[in-house]
Amino acid sequence: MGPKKTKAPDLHVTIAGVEFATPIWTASGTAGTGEEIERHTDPSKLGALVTKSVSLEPRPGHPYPRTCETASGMLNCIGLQNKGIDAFIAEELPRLQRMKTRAVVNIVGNSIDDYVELAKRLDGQDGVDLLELNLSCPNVEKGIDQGSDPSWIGECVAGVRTVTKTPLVVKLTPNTNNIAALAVAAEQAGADAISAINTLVGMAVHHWKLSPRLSNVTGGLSGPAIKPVALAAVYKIVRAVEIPVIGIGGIANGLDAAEFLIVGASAVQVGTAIFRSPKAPIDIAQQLSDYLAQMEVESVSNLVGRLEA
Amino acid sequence: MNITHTSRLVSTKAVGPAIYQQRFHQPTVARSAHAGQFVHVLPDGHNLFRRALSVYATDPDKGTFDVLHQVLGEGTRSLSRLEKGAEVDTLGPLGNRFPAPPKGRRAILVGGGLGMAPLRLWAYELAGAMVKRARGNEIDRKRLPLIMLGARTKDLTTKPYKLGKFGIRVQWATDDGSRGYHGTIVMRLREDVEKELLDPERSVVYGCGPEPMMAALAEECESFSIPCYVSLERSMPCGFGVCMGCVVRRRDGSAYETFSRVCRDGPVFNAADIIF
Ligand SMILES: Cc1cc2nc3c(=O)[nH]c(=O)nc-3n(C[C@H](O)[C@H](O)[C@H](O)COP(=O)(O)O)c2cc1C
Ligand code: FES
Repeated sequence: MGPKKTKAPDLHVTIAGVEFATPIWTASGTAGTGEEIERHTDPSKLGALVTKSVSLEPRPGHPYPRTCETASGMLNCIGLQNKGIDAFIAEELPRLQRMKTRAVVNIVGNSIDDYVELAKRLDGQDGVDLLELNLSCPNVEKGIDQGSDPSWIGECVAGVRTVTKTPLVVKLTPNTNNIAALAVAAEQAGADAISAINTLVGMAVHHWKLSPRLSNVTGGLSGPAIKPVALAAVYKIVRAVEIPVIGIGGIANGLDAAEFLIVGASAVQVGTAIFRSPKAPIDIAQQLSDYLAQMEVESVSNLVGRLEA
Repeated sequence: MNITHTSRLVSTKAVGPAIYQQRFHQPTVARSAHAGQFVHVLPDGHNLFRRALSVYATDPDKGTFDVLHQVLGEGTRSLSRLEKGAEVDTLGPLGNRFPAPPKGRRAILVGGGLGMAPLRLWAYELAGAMVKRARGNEIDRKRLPLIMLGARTKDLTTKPYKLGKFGIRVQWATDDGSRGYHGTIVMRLREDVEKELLDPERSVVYGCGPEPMMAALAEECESFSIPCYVSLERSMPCGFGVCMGCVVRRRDGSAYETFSRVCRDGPVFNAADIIF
């Protein structure tokens, strides 16, 4: 008999009754609607594909320049360019149904009515495992910042809850002084999970040209630079709610992912790191598995919330 | 198709002030890359993103491809300092290709600065195809692609790699007149058409260079009704179509298609389809 073979750690997680092969998902806006990911990687190795925010009407987005590299991160002001829900359902959903991965469809609106209408259109559609509400994009001009108002969030989530049976993930903005209050409002209104964080508002200036580096002047900061902010947000949210939390922000390797799980996230999303490599989420899942083996943790769910503090 | 590769540095050659021609061993890229396409190279160091570099030459038999770059920032500097044998993470080949010349039209390749790189490979491919079609007979030299290149000054006029064997001519224009025509290469193109040295009805223009130059080139071509394809440069966080960062405004687009992705729908566009 050979040496005892150690079993690979179990990466499965269950969130809102849905089982995922790994806790490593893509983040909205960083993996399109799956076409490129399918072309360049093996999507069955992803925990889930989270699609780029889709709105009721098509949106053109902002002019170039839309991105700017910053210290350990990047700014973007894409402006939610997307083809609108009708074209999404006709052209993108069939691929999500066929792809051998879980699909989380991310929606964005200007008003509660928009979110309700979008959720209605997607309710019962094959291939939508979870619905993620982007209540947090700082890019699109808005008189009021509704995404940082707990009562608006409560109303929006409650409205959506009444029109769909699909489990709801509510994605929160870090551009607030009390992210835990936003999470509590979402939970009370019927959210099945919280995801955090979206990008932080930021700006970069061209010092020779005396001009902003982004066409929209300000944009959203993402990448390794925001990981500490994201970890603190997850830390606060898991203490305030019972529902699962999905950590997002600056995850670039398996150890980054592990840190979010230790703090209490049940899964994570990988965004900016995908731009460096389409394989990033798959590599990160492997690195997480190696870490768990080294820590002699048999199942990833046994790591969740292990923070000793 | 898998586009993630490891490329091994074969050689680095200085071909101008802070301008380097680098050869990498990567058989898949060497065999599948065509003129207009680029590779996205991850420099080591603190860069978050890759650097997009046009494919300058390929040798499918030896499994190598060449790029041309100028040291402008940290990324290109660390590339230029790589030791022979070093391995770099490469995505590619990415993007579309230059479309074939419409029947009866000669390819005029108009470049500025390092925009020369994809044009050189395009000239090589076009001439190579002519030689192949001729099956050992003489080729008609007047139908070979013509390369017209602009630079600020003579020091920056890097000669395109190995086009001599086909007898492809390169015409220069420099801003200070230190080499070739005194003025911009777009001005030279206009004069050549006006002097009937170039027949607009029998020409197709392919351009690559700084955006203001491409805009001027597109305008001249439009005024002479010469079909014009341009290869655009953009800052590219991903290079494979997922970030939507690298856009250009379209002329005809619907709301969603107001902007096209240069990395995925380009980098080569019909100049008539876009707004500079
Ligand atoms: C270019 C880009 C586009 C994005 N688009 C969206 C979007 O459409 N909807 C959304 O909810 N979040 C969007 N995000 C935010 C990401 O999903 C994620 O929350 C954020 O980037 C932090 O994660 P990261 O540091 O891993 O990128 C976008 C981020 C980037 C960088
Ligand atoms: S560089 Fe990301 S879409 Fe083109």
